Amino acid sequence: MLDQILLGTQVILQPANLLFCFIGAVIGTIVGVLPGIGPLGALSILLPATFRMTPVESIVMFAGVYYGAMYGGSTTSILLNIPGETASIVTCIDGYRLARKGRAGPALGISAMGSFIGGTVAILLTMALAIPIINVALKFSAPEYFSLMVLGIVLLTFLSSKSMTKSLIVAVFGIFLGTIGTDPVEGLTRFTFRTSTLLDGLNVVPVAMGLFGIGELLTNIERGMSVDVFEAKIGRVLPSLQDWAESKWAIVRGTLLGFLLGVVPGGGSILASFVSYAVEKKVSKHPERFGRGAIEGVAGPETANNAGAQASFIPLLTFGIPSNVVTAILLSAFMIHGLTPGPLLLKQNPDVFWGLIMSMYVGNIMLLVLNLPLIGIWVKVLKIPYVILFPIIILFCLIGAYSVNNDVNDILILIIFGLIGYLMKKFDYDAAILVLAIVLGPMIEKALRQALIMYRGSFSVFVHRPISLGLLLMALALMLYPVIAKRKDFSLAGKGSSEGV
Amino acid sequence: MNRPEQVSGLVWLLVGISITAYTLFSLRIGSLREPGPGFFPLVAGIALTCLSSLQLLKTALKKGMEKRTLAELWHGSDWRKVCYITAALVMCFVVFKPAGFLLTTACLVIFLLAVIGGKTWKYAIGVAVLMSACSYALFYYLLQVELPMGILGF
Repeated sequence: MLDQILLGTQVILQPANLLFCFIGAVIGTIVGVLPGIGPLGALSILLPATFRMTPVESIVMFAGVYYGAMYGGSTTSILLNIPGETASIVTCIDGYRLARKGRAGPALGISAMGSFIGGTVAILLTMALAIPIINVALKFSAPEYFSLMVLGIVLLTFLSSKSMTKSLIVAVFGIFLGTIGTDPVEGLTRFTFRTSTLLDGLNVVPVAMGLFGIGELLTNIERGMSVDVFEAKIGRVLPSLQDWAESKWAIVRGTLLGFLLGVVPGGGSILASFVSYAVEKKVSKHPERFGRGAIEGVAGPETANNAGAQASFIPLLTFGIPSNVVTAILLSAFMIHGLTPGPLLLKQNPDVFWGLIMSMYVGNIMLLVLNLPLIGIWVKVLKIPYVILFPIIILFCLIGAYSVNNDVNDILILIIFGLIGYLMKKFDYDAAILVLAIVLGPMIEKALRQALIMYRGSFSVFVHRPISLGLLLMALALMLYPVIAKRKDFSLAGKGSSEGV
Repeated sequence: MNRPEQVSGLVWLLVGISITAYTLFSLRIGSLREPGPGFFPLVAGIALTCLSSLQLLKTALKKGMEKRTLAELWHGSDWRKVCYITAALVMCFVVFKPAGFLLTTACLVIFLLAVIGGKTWKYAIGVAVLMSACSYALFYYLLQVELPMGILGF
């Protein structure tokens, strides 16, 4: 392990890699601070720009953008009551209240320090668990991969805030969209409508930018986004001893929750922050303080979202399976550079693997400095009016979509998915599931067909292999849980009414 | 009756049926022992059809469901701006290669600032020229991204 840490340290301390780690952290903080564009949009735009970088430089920069956005997102939430990105939504609740009480500084401080602690512990756990998980992953073949990815999709639909049926509809549609292109086994084209653009399938960059960039923007423009004119005074950013006393257990719980939910496919930073807030409110001796400026309501979620962001790399690095939309873009970044994340990445490219892990330490230190003493810079960035910001977002989306393949048809895909994203929001469907399903769909199909070919068309392969069976049973349990829970509610309601008579 | 849920369920049902029908008529399904290129899309099409039927059934049978109309989804919102932005983006797609990056993006930003953002034309033109030039410098020169030159030749 020590050799590997030294290798990673040697890799990240190279000036070029350090520079790109810093650039990633800065870009991540900016996109986290600015509402209307998040790490997904930034990564999609940056993806084509990494063609000329080395694999380590691009992966390290991308990772920096992702967890940097977790740090930056709290700034807008606390100062303006507008979440800079989705994982910072709950921070608005108590963070803004603290700012209104003149305590914006300590709120920002505890948020940055909690993120640092959560991120650092999550990296330590990643280092400790990576090799054992890889050893398990090496035992996986096509049936196990199929079952794991099915579980991932089902888990994502289960954890979605929308109805299970609607989430499954979106997942299945995404899996279908993943079949567009060339059949991986026979090489025949499917649903390409004779266009060369679709021969390699739908590119995830214009799809993701359409759904989350353009779709989100159309929704905001329609609503007429206005910014609260209250100008928070920041003052000292160091939390007091009292703040630390109130937040310490929230930070511990946030770290553990964030890590566990980040590792789970379909989990990640967004879910971690929501669950952390709910837990803190539940365990608090004074839950009435929440919503009125409880500092643990900021500390817990912000710690959890960064721990979740760090942990979400584990499924990608060990199994090669992205656990959320952002790591799905990271998967594309790996593949552009000819790397295949998964159990063989550690063996074939240890410099990339350990360089990435060690870059997370360095990145977290950089972000602590960027988000504490240099917070004044980001406050100025916040003053950019949305009327200037939204044309910049559209411009970047257009360039990002076009530059992936220098194909103007990708702009059309961007527009189509922008409209789909806008309508999905209107009709209350979860767009994140769609993107992940588009990425996982081809992988699921390949695993399914390989398994069926290997075992002569017998579906029993999925139940005869114990790991595969276990994973499928978990997926089934998750699908049945809402039905059973509903029936329980009905029978309890029935019992209650009959006892009342 | 929740009209948005009904409409969305119906749309998904049509999509599922279309996928299933298209796959059956134009792709080889194969067998379980040797799945063909149409196997997986067919499974997805059938699953989508079944799930959307379930969604429609739930909408029809659920008691106490909130009554909503389609118009309520757009009530009080500035949906015209959404239409204008979409139309502007489609125009960009059409003229991007022939007109080139600089001209297309400058015109787009002028439109967005003046018509959507409500700024004066002078302001819009000034900011648009600056934005297009800066993004050209950033993406074309710094990040080495290939952008179409169009009629301006640069």
